[in-house]
Amino acid sequence: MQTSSLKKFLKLYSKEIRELRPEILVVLIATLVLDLLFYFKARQFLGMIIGPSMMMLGLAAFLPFISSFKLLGREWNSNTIYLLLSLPVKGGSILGSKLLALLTQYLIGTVVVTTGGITLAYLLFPEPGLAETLRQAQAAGIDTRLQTIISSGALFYLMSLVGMAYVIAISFFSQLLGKLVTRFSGLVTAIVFIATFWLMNKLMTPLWQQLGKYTQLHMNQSNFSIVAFNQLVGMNTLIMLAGTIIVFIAAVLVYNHKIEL
Amino acid sequence: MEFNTSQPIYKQIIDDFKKKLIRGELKEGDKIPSQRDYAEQVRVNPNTVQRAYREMESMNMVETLRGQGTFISISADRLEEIKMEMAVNLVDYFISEMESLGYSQKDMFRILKQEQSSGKESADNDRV
Amino acid sequence: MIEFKNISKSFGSTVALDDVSLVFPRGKIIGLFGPNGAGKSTSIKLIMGLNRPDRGEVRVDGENPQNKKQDMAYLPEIDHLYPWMNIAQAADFTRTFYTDWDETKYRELIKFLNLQEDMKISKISKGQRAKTKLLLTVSRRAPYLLMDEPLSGIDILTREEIINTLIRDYREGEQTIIISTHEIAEVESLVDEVIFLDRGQIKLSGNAEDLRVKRNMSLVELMKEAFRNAN
Repeated sequence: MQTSSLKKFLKLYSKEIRELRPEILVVLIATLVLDLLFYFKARQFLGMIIGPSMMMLGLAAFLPFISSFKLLGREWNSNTIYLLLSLPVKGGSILGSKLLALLTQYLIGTVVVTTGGITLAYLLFPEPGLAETLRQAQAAGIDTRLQTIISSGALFYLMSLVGMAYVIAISFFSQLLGKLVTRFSGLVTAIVFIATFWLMNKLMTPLWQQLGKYTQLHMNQSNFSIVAFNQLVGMNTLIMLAGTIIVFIAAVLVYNHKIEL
Repeated sequence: MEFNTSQPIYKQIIDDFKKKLIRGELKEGDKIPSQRDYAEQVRVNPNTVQRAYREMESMNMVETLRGQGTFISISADRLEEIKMEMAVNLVDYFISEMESLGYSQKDMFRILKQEQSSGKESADNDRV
Repeated sequence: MIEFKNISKSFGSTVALDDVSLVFPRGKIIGLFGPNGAGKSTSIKLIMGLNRPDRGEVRVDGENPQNKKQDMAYLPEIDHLYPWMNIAQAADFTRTFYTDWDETKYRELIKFLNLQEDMKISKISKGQRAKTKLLLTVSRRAPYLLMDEPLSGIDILTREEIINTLIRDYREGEQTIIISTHEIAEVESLVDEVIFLDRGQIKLSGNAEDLRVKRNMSLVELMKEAFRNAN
């Protein structure tokens, strides 16, 4: 029977997605219900949609962080950790597949809510409104070409994705350290989480300061430069990515060398 | 087959085959079950069965032919030997048990004769 | 071959194993016996790499257990399977991780054990769960089979099925089975070697048949005696 690291990883990944199925479905269905509700009821003004939509987006964005505690904690609660630890797989694949599944949840949730919201807005408040908004933006000096909007939006979204990976990595690390103690496990997890957050922030602060200076230098123009914005976002993404990798590796090391039953 | 777990199981397996040979249930050239089949039948560790079969082979009771199985391969003299061994063991056991209860050799012979003839009587009665 | 070299392991203030050195020989069925808290489960978890010793070394074929997981089939006492999976999914999950999965044996065993592929782990009885765990471990041609209390809480008929399955599929000389249990009577005729543990120490060990010859006692009686002398 052929096995490969990739097949094993994918099998773990699909198992994690299956565990997240209820959460993913909740966001999907809630968005659908909300959007249908608005479509048939709220035809007055755009503002009425934006509020709840923002809340849904916030939920969709925040939920994977909550789920990160379920995905790892549940393995211990249901004793399936016995199965995971006996598999010929190391922490990198175990935690990696969970991380990827949570990011998938994030992707699906945010994309669905955003698409639903935009579609709704477009259907209820068609062309004239959109064109007017664009004209106003252009007057303010904002580059409103489609490709710029998409590329900046994508970059910003990528930053949020890395940000989500960052907090998930800290969540995993804190939970695993919490599992090393027999009592007050939850308390230890909370403390480690806050401490790691604070520590990583301290490490990243000098980098952000550099970034800040750089931005000052390039943003001293009358026009808001998209290029500068992209660079700012891009650099921040890289900084957070580095932080994510560091914490993730720490979590994997704890899993591989310290975790016991 | 129930095993007495205070005694080595492989010996009990060998004894079981010996008894079958003595009773004539197994004869020269008969095929006995493979080790695996036998282990499953009597629900015993296959390693134990292997030990028994190997002993039986070294005791000149069986012979294993590659790819064909294990067969009874016992000379008439050897069978007689085994019969006598079995009988002697049983008698020794009888004697030691009786002695431990305080019976004399005379008592033993008397009771043996008594039981033997009454046994013939009831056998005759059964036939009628 | 599995070796314990001066293994000590404690959980908090409880000593699970106290400077234990022993060898689990290759290709045999080994009974790990002792009362509750003797250190049986801990020993098995150490072999599986689920625990690390405080002192000493565990060596599986000369290597760190963490690197030998692909050679181990583990049957823990607790229910460790994903409750939302059915048997088919659990089998599919298992076969992805091991090259020694035997599909023919799996098909045959699932029939022999009277299980169905659509049975959901969370919905079946305790006996069926025990049989499912057995199914998933024995459907592999793993060099090491580690069973922690495989018979506890199981009804008599299911126990018979489990023992029959083990005998049927055991590859003597190639496969090493370690059974930890306090139901010694059930496995009397199954084990080659025995190790009696009590409060983290070895009370007695050796070949089952040799012990029977020497002491004229069953393993059950031997254990009773070993523990009577200890107290």
